[in-house]
Amino acid sequence: VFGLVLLCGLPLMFLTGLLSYASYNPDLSPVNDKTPAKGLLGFYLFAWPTHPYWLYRVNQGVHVTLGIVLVPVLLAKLWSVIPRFFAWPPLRSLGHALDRLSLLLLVGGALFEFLTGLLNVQLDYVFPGSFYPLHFYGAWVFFGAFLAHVALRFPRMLRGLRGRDLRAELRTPTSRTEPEPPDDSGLVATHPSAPTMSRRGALGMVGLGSLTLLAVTVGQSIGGPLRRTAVLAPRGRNPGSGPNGFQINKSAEAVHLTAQDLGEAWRLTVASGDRRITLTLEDLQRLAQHRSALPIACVEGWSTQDQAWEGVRLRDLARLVGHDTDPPGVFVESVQRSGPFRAAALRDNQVRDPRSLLALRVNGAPLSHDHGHPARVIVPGAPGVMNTKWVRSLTFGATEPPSAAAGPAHAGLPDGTGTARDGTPAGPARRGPTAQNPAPGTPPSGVSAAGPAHAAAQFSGPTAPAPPDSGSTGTGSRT
Amino acid sequence: MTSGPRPGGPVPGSGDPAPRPPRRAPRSWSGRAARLFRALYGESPLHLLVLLASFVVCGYAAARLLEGDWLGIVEWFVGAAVIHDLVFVPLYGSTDWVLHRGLRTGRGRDLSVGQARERRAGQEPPDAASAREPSAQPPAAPPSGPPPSSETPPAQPSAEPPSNQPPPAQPPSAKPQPAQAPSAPRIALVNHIRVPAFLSLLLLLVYWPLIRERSGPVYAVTTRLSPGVFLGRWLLVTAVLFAVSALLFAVRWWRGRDARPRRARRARRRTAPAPRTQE
Repeated sequence: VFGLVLLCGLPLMFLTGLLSYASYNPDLSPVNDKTPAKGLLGFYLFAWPTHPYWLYRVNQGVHVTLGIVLVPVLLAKLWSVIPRFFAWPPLRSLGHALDRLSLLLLVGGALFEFLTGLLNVQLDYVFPGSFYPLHFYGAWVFFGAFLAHVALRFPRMLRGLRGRDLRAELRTPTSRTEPEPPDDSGLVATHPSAPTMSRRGALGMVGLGSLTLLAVTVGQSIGGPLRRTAVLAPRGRNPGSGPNGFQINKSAEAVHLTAQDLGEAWRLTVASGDRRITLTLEDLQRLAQHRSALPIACVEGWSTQDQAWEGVRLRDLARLVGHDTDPPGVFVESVQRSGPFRAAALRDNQVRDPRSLLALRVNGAPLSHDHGHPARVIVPGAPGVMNTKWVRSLTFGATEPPSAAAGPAHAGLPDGTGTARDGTPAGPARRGPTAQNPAPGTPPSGVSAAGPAHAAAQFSGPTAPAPPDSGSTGTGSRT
Repeated sequence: MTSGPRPGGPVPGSGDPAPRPPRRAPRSWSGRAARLFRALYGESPLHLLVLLASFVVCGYAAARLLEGDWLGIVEWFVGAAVIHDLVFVPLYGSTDWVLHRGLRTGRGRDLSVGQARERRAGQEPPDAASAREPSAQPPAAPPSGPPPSSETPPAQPSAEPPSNQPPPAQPPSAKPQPAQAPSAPRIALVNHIRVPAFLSLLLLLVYWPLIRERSGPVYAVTTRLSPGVFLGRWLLVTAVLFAVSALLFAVRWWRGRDARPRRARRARRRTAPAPRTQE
């Protein structure tokens, strides 16, 4: 019975895991892809849709919650076959040896996947490396062995299930529980102790374990009033109340952003090819504002209910730099200076969706610093980390950092934290009406040329391995 | 499964039986080849085919998995399996055994079960122990009530020794039993401790990093939530689980006690007339 449950559950885990990877659009840009060496293992990738907008939320909630709920079933399955691991002689034949090797991959892989997953959702990044490659490649190793195991053991499971009538077994109390008759599986106790628990009791206990885990976990994915029922889950509470009182993936403090970085000096650069304009927050607020109700959903399984976002449509911003119809994808960069996912590439279908915003407000209030003030991206159906916070530049038609593509004299850092190469201070001092190729419909004020500014140094990061200082905390999961 | 695998070493006779002989007599050359293959390899050719296909997938992924800190990853992969098999399974197996022993000796010497429980409670957080306090009455009560042997009708009503003998003292008069059959109430008591303990330890295992606050500061600064609440919450959940279990046990016991005199009276009435008619 445990085998049957796992036979249904584990492929579902694998499938939702693969979908989760596809949702990052890893084939679009190196910054989206944490496993660039995937090779053939990425054969199935496709353009991640924006409909239905809850797709990622449900997928990830199922993946993480089901994984947690399956823990007792996995342990029970291993418990029921444990004598096999101590079978003697250890290796009978070449075939037996290969079989045991496959079992090692199966058991090791299953425990490895559950362990890395459980640690990651609890932000305990002790595993040897970055979560994404470990969990992704580990899943393939496990699943390869899993398929062989199913192919070779399926008949035995059917025999086991047919051998006992489940309903009859459910009517058997402990007092009438008989030891298993001997068979060729090597799993039947030769000197059984007297039964202290019926088979239905054992199944019930494992089922009760799953239910208990479900009860203390699932609230963090459903949200609303049920969030508080997730008493042991990492996201069972809300950080405060009010319009911005919903789950924060990473606070501004966690990525070392200060009020100065996000204050008056903040500018947004919108670019496409040679065209480039710079906008202040007031400029953005003067553009047409739209609303969309979208959730935030994290790879760690938690999510929020729909929040009422308000801001400028991405496709309207594309129009500012000349994409009047059919805008291309966009490369989004954050003010954030270090850590993974401070840049993301969005596909054209994501830009064109009218619900995709550069949000300035949420639930009727300006964004808080922790939710991406002054401006953040929000795209239907996208994983949380693809919804970049503290946006500083949008480059339409690009999938790589413009600084890397076009050389250093390109990307200005409008955060006032550095000096441009020519010695003029970066930030407000550079403002002036000298826009290159001013786009039609450009807002009248605040448009400026992004002067020669920071060298590419800032942006060698996203594709490169994480810097050593963030190794322990930075390379784990992000939303 | 329930009565089944006892950890702690190879189970005698648990090895697979010798490879089955080929189904058909090897009449042809191909039959001989198949037999030769089986003799050399030990399993069917299909087995080899399936495993090789599987190893191709695993190997392809493993090559990528091991690109980083390969030694660390192998350690985790193999270590997870080994630690599970050699540490965790024996640990929970022996904990369960200790629980059984504790209750048995407790009863055998006619100690109140509470004492056996106290012995066990030393291994657990204090709250968990106090959580089980409510259950102290029902299990302690049986000695004062009618002998528990009559509590449940089925199987072995006479197996329970009414004497104060240590546990191995099975009354020789009892019908042949599977070795050391514990009595039904004792089983019920064990299970009413075992199930909530299992659930509580399961929660502890799954949410260990949060409960231990292993990522405390990171968690706090990342999520803006306080990391310190999880231990208290786990203890509270544990307390509730044990309390519910104790409550259920009490209800069962009371219902059993109510039913017992009636059943006994009925039984007496049924058996009583018989001798009279004989007289």
